[in-house]
Amino acid sequence: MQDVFQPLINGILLGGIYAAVGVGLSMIFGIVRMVNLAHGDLMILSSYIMLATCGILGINPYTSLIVALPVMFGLGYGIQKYILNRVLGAGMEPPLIVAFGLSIILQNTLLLIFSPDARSLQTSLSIKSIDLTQTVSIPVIYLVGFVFGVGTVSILQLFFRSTFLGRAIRAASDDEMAAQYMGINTQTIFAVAMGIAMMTAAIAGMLIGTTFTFFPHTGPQYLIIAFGVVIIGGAGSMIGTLAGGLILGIAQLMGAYFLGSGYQLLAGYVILIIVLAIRPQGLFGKAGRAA
Amino acid sequence: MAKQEGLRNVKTKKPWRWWIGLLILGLLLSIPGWASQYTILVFTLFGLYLALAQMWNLLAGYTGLISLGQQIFIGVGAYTLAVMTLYFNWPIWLSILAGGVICAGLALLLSIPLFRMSGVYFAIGSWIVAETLMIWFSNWAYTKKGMGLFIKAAYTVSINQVYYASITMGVFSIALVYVLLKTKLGLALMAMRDDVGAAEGVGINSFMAKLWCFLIASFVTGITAGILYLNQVFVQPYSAFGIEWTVRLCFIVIIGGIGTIEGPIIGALIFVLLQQYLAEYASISLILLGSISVVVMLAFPKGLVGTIQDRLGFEMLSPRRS
Amino acid sequence: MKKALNNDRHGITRRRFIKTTAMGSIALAGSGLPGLAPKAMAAKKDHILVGRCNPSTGALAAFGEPSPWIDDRAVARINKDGGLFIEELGKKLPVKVKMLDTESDSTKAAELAARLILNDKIDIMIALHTPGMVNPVTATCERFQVPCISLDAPLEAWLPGGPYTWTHHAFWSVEKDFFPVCKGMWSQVETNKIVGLLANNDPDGIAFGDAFKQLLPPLGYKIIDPGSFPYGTQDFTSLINTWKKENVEILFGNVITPDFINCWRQCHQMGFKPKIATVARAILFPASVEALGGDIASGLSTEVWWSPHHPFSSSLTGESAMALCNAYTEKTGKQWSQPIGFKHAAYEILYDALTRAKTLKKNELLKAIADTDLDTIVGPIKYNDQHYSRTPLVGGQWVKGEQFPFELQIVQNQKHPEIPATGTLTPLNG
Repeated sequence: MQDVFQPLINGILLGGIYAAVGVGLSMIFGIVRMVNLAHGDLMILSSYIMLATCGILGINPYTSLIVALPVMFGLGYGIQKYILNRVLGAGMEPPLIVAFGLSIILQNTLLLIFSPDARSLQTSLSIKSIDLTQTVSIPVIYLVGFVFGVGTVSILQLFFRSTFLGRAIRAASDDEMAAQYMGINTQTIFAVAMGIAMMTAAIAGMLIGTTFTFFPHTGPQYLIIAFGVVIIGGAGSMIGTLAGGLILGIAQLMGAYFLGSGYQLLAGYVILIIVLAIRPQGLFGKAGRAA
Repeated sequence: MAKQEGLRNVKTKKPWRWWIGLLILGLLLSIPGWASQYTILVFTLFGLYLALAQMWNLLAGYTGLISLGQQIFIGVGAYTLAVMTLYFNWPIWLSILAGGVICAGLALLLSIPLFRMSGVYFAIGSWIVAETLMIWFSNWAYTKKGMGLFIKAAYTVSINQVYYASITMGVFSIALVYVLLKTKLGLALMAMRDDVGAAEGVGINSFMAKLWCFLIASFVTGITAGILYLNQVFVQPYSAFGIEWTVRLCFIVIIGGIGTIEGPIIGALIFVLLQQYLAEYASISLILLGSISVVVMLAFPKGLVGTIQDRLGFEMLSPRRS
Repeated sequence: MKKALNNDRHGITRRRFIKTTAMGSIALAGSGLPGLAPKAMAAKKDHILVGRCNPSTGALAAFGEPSPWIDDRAVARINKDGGLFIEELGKKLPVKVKMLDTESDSTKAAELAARLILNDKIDIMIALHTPGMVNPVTATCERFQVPCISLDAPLEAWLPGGPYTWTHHAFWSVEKDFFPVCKGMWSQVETNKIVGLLANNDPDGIAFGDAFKQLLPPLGYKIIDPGSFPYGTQDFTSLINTWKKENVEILFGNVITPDFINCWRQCHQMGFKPKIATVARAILFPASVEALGGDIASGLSTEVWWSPHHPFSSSLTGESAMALCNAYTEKTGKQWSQPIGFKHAAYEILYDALTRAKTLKKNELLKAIADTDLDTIVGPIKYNDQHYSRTPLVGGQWVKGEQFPFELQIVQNQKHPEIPATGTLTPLNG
């Protein structure tokens, strides 16, 4: 039974990465009450932005975050302010369709610009490992991802609790009218929230880009993972996102261990369906909140 | 006085609409007589996408079930056709019918978990189920896993046969939705569309209404998929259960006008023509499709037909009773 | 006065609207669809139209990339003297190729093939580049009865679509060609004969896996199959674990490039170091090999269906394989890749068949293709009564190169000694 430890450890670490992937979607779902179907593609877009930056400036992926973070913030802010804000409240279909449309546009534009070859953000960490025992070793890149994931979630948690902006965002999402009475421009707030979510997407894009490979159509794959995280953990809750990520990561790898690798993704989906059917608000989400 | 005149208007408007409809139908049916094979192919696709879109519209526009998982039934319908004709030597049309029946059965089963989800959760749930089936089929040795199956029986089906089948499905789907909306079920749907709580308050069983629509939609989708794959000939899990199907249906219905019967007709026509025009320009066609949808959603959220209905105030196939 | 309540609200009547829309859409359809009424064919024909579905974008773009350069070049040579003589028209016609991008999607490939046949009315179809691209196109050609020349898909993945009437195929067999190559390569290095399997669950992966699972045990090899997996799997922990546990020293598989990149990196992360790693499809192209990062690509072995060292020449241009590769590198600055030879060969077969047939009549053209007995740049092609011809296969290993970061050495040529070996298989460094 000893060799169950490796998948278990990898599952936990992978969970940290998944949490980073899902936290942006969780924010938008919880705050703006919208499902951003283009989340995965925006993440991959930031991976490509970093790829280009690393190529042109010759820096390593972690440093390229300095460029990617503000760019993604601006992009998120712009998309929310000029496109998505206009369809909020018009029912459920318009935001869904607009996000869908954006997703298709992004994928195919990336395809035209970058060609469909599989890429990755090169870093020497990707093949290093820390060997604990004969059979168990910790892939360094997974560990780095885990740290980033937990870190991002924690920073956001602090942000929402303690800063004025964070509290304004929460206020705007809890009760838009009341927030407006208090002098908060909710449209701008939502745009800022989207910008922040996009920054997390940039971080996630970096993690995915360094750990795995990506190509223009990789987006939907990570969208499903983000969904998994958000639904299992509960939208809008930072702890929930972390829990969701861990559960999903462990479920996938345990599924692969016990059932075979073809069923790795399946294990995740089955858990997702069960949670959707029984407790759609997730473990830590607030009941009765969804559309 | 006004009321009497209003009723008189209702009476006289009907026959005129039917004549136009019959004319168009006659035109469509005559196509194999004078058009090239390519035109027939295009209109075959039109008929099939029209049927699929009407069903998606039935679910999303009238029943409030936004499904991102119609590809479940497309894949199952296609595989049923392949398996029945290849392994059991069933005749083609019977296999296609079987596809529809199996899809309806699957829908019944899936309604157990899926109907517990509402709104956006249902949308995501339906998509995840489709992905699950994709993985299942690509691991299933019975259907040759990811290898895919060749529907060899389709080699002998003539283009005209497929064409007539598809036009039949297209017209049937329009008629089905039209008639459905005039029945009690239709009334229930329209009440639910306006306000579910109030509808249930007057005794409408929204669960049964939704279930019926789901079953009907899956049945028709399954049959249409069978006919579609007579054209495609090669069925593979990654494309049969792919999200691309939903993307196409979404665009058709949204651009045409969600919640209207004419919407999917116009949408399917535009989509098929656009697809053919841009077939040689690969990714550009998809970028264009995506951009059009975004623009339409921002500027004309009711789609072409919906906006025209609003601004110019008339409807051709409206199920309204007065 | 309420009579005109609905009719005239905004000045456009229902009648007019419907008339205009109906007319408009039919006009739109008519203008966009040149084949609205069947045209007389013979009168206006001034070229031979060849249909070509190519994965220019998408996951298989590496296969499609050298086109249209290679295709245009071959066609230019065919058309040098005005083209091919067609008896029923009494004159020479140039060849024209219509190439469409399948986006590496099987559904799209089928649609485009149908479109080429029905709308563009091609005379003949050429299909290449993995079973996912070849199968839908050949199936469509069988359906609409159009002669088709296909290559570049392992036989075991193509044959299930048969028996074929209109298509002729040329490539190698997993069982008869790839297996002996692997056997030969693996016996060059001392191992414990335990093989770990790595396979996607798609036509290629399954064909290879099934064949090897049957053929290896009788030779004393033990094969460990942790199960095939779908595209896009990122985490290979459980597979690698299984291989480590079973002491696998030979890694063998058929996967797509992105999946292999993830897997190979994780092998290194987890300290799994087999002595030999032979992977089909994933590492055929220099770009894929370089994408692995660092030096971990060095020592990987793969199948070689064509290389500059192959001693064959083109029946069309007379140039050797080496000359063709050099011309490609000179013109595009890129390293050669294996599909180049096969793309060229397709046109050689086309030219030869049309020269013998001297007609565009389908049945006679089909017979001419069936009678092909030609020495092409990928080797001799002669179709058997099941409509295929086996092309030679050897084994290769990627090593660090001089002109390019990684270069392919031929390390196993037992069945085809005419293709010179340039090295022997070296075990992967620890």
